[in-house]
Amino acid sequence: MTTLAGELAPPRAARTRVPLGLAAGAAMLVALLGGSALAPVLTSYDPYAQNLNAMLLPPSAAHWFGTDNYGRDVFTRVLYGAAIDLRIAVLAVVFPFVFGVVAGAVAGYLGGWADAAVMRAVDVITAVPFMVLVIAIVAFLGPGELNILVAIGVVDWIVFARLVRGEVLRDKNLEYVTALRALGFSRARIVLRHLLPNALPPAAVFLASDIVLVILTTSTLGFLGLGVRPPAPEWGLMISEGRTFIYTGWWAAAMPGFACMYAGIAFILLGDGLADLLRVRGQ
Amino acid sequence: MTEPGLVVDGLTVEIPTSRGVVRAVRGVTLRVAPGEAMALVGESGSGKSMTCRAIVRLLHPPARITAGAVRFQGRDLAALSEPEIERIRGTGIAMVFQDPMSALNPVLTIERQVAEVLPAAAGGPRERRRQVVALLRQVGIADAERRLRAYPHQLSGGQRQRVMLAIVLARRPAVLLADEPTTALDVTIQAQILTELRRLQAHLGMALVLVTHDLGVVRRTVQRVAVMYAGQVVELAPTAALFARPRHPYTAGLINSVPSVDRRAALAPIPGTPPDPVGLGDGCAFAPRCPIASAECLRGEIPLRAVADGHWSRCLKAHVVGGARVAGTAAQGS
Amino acid sequence: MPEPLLRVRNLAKSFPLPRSPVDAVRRRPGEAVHAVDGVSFDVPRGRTLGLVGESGCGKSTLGRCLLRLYRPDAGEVWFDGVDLVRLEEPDLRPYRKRMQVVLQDPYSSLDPRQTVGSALLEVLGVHGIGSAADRPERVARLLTQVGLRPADARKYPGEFSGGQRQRVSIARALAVGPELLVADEPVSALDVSIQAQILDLLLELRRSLGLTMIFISHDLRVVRYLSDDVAVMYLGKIVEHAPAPELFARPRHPYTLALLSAIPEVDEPARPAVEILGEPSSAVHVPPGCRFHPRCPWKVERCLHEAPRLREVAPGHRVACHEARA
Repeated sequence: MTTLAGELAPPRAARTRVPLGLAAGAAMLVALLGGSALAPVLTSYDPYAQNLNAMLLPPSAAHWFGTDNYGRDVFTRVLYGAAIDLRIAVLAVVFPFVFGVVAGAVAGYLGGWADAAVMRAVDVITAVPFMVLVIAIVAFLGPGELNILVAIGVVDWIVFARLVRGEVLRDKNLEYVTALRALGFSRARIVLRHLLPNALPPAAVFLASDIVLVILTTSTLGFLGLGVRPPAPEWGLMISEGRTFIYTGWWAAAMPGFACMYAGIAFILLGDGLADLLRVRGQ
Repeated sequence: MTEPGLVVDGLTVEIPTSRGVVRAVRGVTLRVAPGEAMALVGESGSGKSMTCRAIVRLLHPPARITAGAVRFQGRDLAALSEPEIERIRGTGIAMVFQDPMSALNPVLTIERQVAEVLPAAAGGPRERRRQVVALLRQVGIADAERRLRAYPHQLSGGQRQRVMLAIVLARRPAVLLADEPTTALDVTIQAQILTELRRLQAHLGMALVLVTHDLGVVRRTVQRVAVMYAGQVVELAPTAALFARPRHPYTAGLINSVPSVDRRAALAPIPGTPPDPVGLGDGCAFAPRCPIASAECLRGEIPLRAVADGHWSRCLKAHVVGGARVAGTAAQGS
Repeated sequence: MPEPLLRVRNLAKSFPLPRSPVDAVRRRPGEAVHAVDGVSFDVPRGRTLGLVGESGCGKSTLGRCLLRLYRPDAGEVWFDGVDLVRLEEPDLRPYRKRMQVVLQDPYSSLDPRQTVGSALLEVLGVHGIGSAADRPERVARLLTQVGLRPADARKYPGEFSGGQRQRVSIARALAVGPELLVADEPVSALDVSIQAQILDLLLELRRSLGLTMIFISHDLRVVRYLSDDVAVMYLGKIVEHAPAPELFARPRHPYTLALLSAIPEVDEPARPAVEILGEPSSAVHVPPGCRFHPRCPWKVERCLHEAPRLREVAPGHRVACHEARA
């Protein structure tokens, strides 16, 4: 009787249903990316052109998000900025994801010295808070987009390594791996074709929330003056620049802040939806 | 007038799932006399454990009792409040599980856990310790003094089950529900625990309801058997009568599926698999796997009918179900 | 006499326990679980050896050493005239095709994200069996052979019951056309009625394919049903080894007797009960002398310090007991 729950297979219809969160997150992202790509069509303003006659105008029909202290249209800058922030966020997680997943899989499956080497590196990086380490590296290398990517790459891979290592460690003791070894499958095939695909879904789910972290990191660095250089319309930089005028023109800082939130929510919905989808398929 | 012993009357347990309602237990009726040892036997999904848990109201939600009654000491357990049923579980009806590790508290010593169930009037700490040691000795733990300060994980599976029996012994329940108590143990240890269980039952004069999938264990341990299939009792008989001449084709098939060390007779496995627990109809649930089923078996509810003294079968053709081994071997040979 | 397909000599395998930091600093040798401790036997072609014993007796470890899933610490495993213990992974590959395994847990022995069809195709592909064009046909034949339908190839393991999954595992093992099949508790996780179906399937496949089998189980009833020869293990050693009819008719070792009388038989018990006390000793601190002596009803002074050798007491019947009579 204890296995009854196991016998009750999930309804078959659930296999193909796309989770609501996934659809909503994807729609929000498509809207943001589309808006960014079509920015020249959607607004007639130039994100860089200053207009000293239109400084710190509140939101209106002409300026949906108002203007900043140089009279630039905030809505236009937020749209153009999306391209910069999303580009950095996506590029920044590619290396940590790939390297972390491979390192975690190798460490988990081989064990021994390979595991020890990877896990000690993970320990060292974990010992320093994420933000402090990223800021220290960027401060050392100097501001700029490439250096942000390097700094995040050095620090961020450990979460994927840890996650995938755990999955692989659990799976490699399952009987199916024993059976595949007995069938004469090579180590490479077992890791690449069986263990890794089974470990990837949780890593992919985490990837979505990791992008949120990177967006926030990028804007934090921008805010601290360690990120993208002005006058680029990077969200963090815009918040930093608008902060001085928070009492006279709150929109200059708040609007790019809402943009960060919007992107964050979109990716989190995407990640949750992905998790639901993969969990159903996995059963 | 209250009936003695434990009476389960038309017990029904349902579990709502996303695919529909699973009727895990379908109108089970049993009478367990005081001091009697009986078994609920069946395969996974047959409803045997669920019946047992429903009796003491230990179902995991969303499973719940939707019909029927459990009468014990003049009360309907299915209708009691939570504090009242807790009192019954303490001293009236005790339960031991397949995995005693999960039933014992991992962070308390064996002494604490056994002493906890001693009556409050059991005396001072020294006297209580003496009683715990005596209880542990009675269930066959040889070095009882040394084990007092052990934690559950430091004991083997067999010893943990003995500790559970010591706790039962301390409570002196009228009924013991044992849910696959030896399934996780090696055979030599299983034999020891079963011996212990029988001794304990005789000593306390308590009724025993043994839930098991193992017909051999049934034969060794109890006087009466209820065979369950798809949530129903399909056959109910004294142990000897059941093995001598099963009167339900499922029981016969089950007996023929167990290999023996003494005779290398061909097995006659039951074809197919148990039915989907969702949407069971009125007809015989075993019919699709049954060698003697016919169209009438699917028409309407089949009642449990007496086929001999104390021998009941839920089969329209109970009279043609033959002696187990003989029938099985012949079927295989043809 | 023809060469046996499998010849095992003095096989040993232990697993070191983690050392405590204090021991490591003092360079004290660590402790180890002696799972298999000097085991020798032959399996002639076409016969089935049942390996039986209680949990922790080393029967599964032994099976995995034979398949070279574990590297034995010592001893030899001669498979068709070649000592597998001396081979390394790439050279083992051709032998992997000739010996296969069916494992206990039907729920974890299949990759959950691979359909049954693609799993079987992968096996055929890795070993280059058949041409790419006729492999789907082979998959269908394999599924039919184990009592499933060709249409089942599209399903995921999660869509099958335990018994059906075990059939898939058997199909996967048969895909490479093995001569030796090691079945490690293949029916222990299954319900009785399903268990009988799988036992009959193994019996039928053994007959039609001429398989040599090693059948590992804790259940003497099941071993009896399938085996030609039976070896009883206790704490890493074989204590009795004989043709099945002989072993069950005239068991000589007290442990075998105890195992037999502990079996809850469905039939009336045919032999007097020999009850043994206590629980198996630890495989870390193995008792001196005969390993069974702490539980043995027959023990004499000699058993406490002298380990009995496996000796032949009747043709083909070997027993490791000082007190066993010929």
